[in-house]
Amino acid sequence: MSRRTTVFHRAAVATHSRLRPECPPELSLPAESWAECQRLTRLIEKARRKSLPAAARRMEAALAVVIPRVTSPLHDYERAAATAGNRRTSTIHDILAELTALDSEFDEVSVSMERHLITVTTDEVVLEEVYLGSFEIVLNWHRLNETGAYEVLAVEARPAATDDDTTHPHVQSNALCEGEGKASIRNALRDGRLYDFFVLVRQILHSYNPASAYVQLSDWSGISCPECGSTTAEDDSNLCEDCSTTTCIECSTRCNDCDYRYCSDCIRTCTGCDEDTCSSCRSVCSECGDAFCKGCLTHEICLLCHENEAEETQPEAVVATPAPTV
Amino acid sequence: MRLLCVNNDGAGFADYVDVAEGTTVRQFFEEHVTHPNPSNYLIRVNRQPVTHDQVLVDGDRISITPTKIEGAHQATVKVQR
Repeated sequence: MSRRTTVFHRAAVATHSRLRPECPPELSLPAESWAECQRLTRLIEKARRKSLPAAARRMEAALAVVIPRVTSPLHDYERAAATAGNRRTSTIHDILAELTALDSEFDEVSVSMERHLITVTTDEVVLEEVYLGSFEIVLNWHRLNETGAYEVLAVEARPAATDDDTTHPHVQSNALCEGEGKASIRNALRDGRLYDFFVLVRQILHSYNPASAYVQLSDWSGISCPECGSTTAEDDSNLCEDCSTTTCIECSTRCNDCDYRYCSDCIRTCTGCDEDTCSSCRSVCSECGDAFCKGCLTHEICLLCHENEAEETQPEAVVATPAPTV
Repeated sequence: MRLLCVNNDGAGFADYVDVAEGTTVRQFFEEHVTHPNPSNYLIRVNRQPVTHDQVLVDGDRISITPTKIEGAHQATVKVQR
């Protein structure tokens, strides 16, 4: 027996000892889809009452999309419930075969007896032309029956621009949002079908559901505006001419003098005319020290200081006093 | 003959099924999957990739896994105008 087979055998024995055949199968009913069916049905009835046939038809079309999301899982659960009595929990020999077969599905498979971990490395994941790289799926057989039994780690993380913890549209803080795969993953772990578990997780990583992604792929490489926090496409962003900070176009301001755009830290309002002015087009009045645009300064002095200066330099008016009468 | 069928679609289940001698992978697949489009599934026999015309034998373990499994459930549907 090779050393690798020996390690796999020890891992299989350890995993088998953690199986809980008495645990009931996972049956998460499609409650959300059913609620959506009820909502659409109410809307159809309302549209019919108000004699709005076009609206009713639109709702009916939407309902036709949702109904299979209820019936299909129910069909599967019916089948799963019917076979619950025949449940087959893996033997040590089965688990060893599962571990050995992983070599043909994944680039790397490793076992850490000390840390109770089985780790596989997926191939590179590319979704809608966004390269996300490879992922490690790390299963802790000591936590086989718990929610956090496994983690999904990006090998060379390429997280979303807006969130460093989101390394995949459906992975945040190394936890996978299992979605449609939840019940099958739970059942695979419960039965000790480790091969199926790892393949299921990999297939979720190769799938994309924009409706419930932590970060949508369309926003993946966008610019996160440091001022308002929104994500914007690179084409719709602005590089501040002064400090080179990139903001969204809405958070940038055009200088009234030079027409370049700046972030909010690098543009000020002229004290004289209230127009937005960048630091290059702004000067300080040598008298009062306030900042003005070029148009509001004459010989480096603002209009108000000019007026004050003019008043001070004018000779005091001589008040003619009538001659005293005798 | 008897096979172990692991269907990872939906809730996922593993069950023994009886099939006729000489049944191929394709025949089995078409009989046991609701919307049988083989390109949408990974089919493995004894955890190994197979061709669709492979003949199944007694005691085989056949697993069917969707290639696309959406990472979260979409409950609300946009009404098209």
